[in-house]
Amino acid sequence: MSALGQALAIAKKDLRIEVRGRHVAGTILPFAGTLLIAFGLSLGPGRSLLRQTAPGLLWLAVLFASVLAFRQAYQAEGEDGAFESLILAPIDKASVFLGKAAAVVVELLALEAVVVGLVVVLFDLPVGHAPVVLAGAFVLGTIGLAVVGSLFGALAEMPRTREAIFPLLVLPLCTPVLVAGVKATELATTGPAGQAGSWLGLLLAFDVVVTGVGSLLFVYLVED
Amino acid sequence: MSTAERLMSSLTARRGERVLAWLAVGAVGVSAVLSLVASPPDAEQGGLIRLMYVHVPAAWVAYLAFAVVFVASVAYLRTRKTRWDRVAAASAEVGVLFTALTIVLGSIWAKPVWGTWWTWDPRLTTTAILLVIYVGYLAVRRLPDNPARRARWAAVVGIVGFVDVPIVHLSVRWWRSLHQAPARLIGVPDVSGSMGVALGVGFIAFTLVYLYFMALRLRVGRLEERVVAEALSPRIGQPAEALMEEPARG
Amino acid sequence: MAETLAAARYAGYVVAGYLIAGVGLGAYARLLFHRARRARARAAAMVARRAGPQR
Repeated sequence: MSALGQALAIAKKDLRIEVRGRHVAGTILPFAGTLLIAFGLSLGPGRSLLRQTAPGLLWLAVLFASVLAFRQAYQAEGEDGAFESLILAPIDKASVFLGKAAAVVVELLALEAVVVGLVVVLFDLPVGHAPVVLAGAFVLGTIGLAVVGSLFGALAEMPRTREAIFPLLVLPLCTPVLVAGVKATELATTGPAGQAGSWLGLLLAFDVVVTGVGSLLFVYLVED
Repeated sequence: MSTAERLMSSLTARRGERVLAWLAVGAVGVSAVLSLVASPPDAEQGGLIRLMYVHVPAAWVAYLAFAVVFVASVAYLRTRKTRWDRVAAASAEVGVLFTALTIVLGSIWAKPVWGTWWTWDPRLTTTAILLVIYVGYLAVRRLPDNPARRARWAAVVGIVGFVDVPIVHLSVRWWRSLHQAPARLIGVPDVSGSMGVALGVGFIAFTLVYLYFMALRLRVGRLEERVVAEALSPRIGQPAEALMEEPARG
Repeated sequence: MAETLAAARYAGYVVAGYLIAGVGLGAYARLLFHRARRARARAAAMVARRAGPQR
């Protein structure tokens, strides 16, 4: 099996786990919804303020959801020593990294579709102007979040690890995704969408760099 | 290495540390005199310019320290020599100290000059994110796990963190350029003559302080590893050094 | 008069900055010395215990 085929097999396995266990759909999606309602309550009912802050709140919800999604993706591996078997399997370690990232990309994109709908309803964000730019921002941003999460998610499964260490690492490293994602979303909804190109380029650059570095380094994280 | 040789190298290490200490103290003294007394006040900022002579060198040392973490992390993954892991650990700790110092000094400088403790200036914001990334790095280093695995983990974080910094900076710079710059923002002061000398000596002094802290911190690292090795030493009389290079069992 | 006052106020910032830098660096050096002393004492204690009464 080629490295790509291996990655796809792992992604398929993770998606099957999600379809059967419904962790993202059953727990993380409601959490993201709760978060959005809490944001709305904390910023008051003023319509224009909510609309202005909607892209940022949307991406914060996605960011937190991605942290939880990776906790879940690696916690599932912790049971019955599944992760050890996965690592001992005669496959390229980079394909484990890419496969887990790909599965979470699919899960998060599904989650984002619902969350964007919620934001349209709750915060009155107009999403019809430039749907292609918006979709591009979410696809590229989600890939960025997923590769960072896939790289460091294994940390959450280390024995005697500390829960908060994963978000502590992931959130600052994902600053470019947060900034570029929010700005691209802003431009795609309320601003001139034509100016979003450089932000999408930045997201793409982040994805390429972290995917490359992650593929090279993942093997060191799971050596034993 | 024979016992005598080991003794020698540790002696020279201690002597090197002492020499560095004196050099650092001397350079800091000269730098303080130059920047507080001998250099003229700035045309725009007056005496406040004197904060530049500590703030900018501190920022330089912070970035230098994290570059060293990056190099040592790559070297560790390639060679698996514990020495590189110790260098990375030491440099990250010193780097976090200097990053925090940079931010605090920058704040103190910004308050009278810009009228605010903090602006979302790209350099400030990047430095703040840098601080958080490497605080996370130190948190990974504190995980109670087997030392070899922890070292590999830390190395990966050290590499990814450093690679991420330019992208963070770029994103924050673009992000910032979409807002108006604060009206009171004063540009980079014109540094020449005795001000340039003061700044240059500041750079040298802070770099020497960094080297001294590295030497000291590396010694502390060796001593603390020795404690762990003694605690895990399975047989009476076995030298602890024999255990230090391999992962601890436990 | 006002100018002197303003200059003195600004000097306060400079003094505070240099003090914080000095205290920060000094405190870190002291912390390292403390850690070195503690590690040495612990290692010595362990060696002494091992060399002492036979198990």
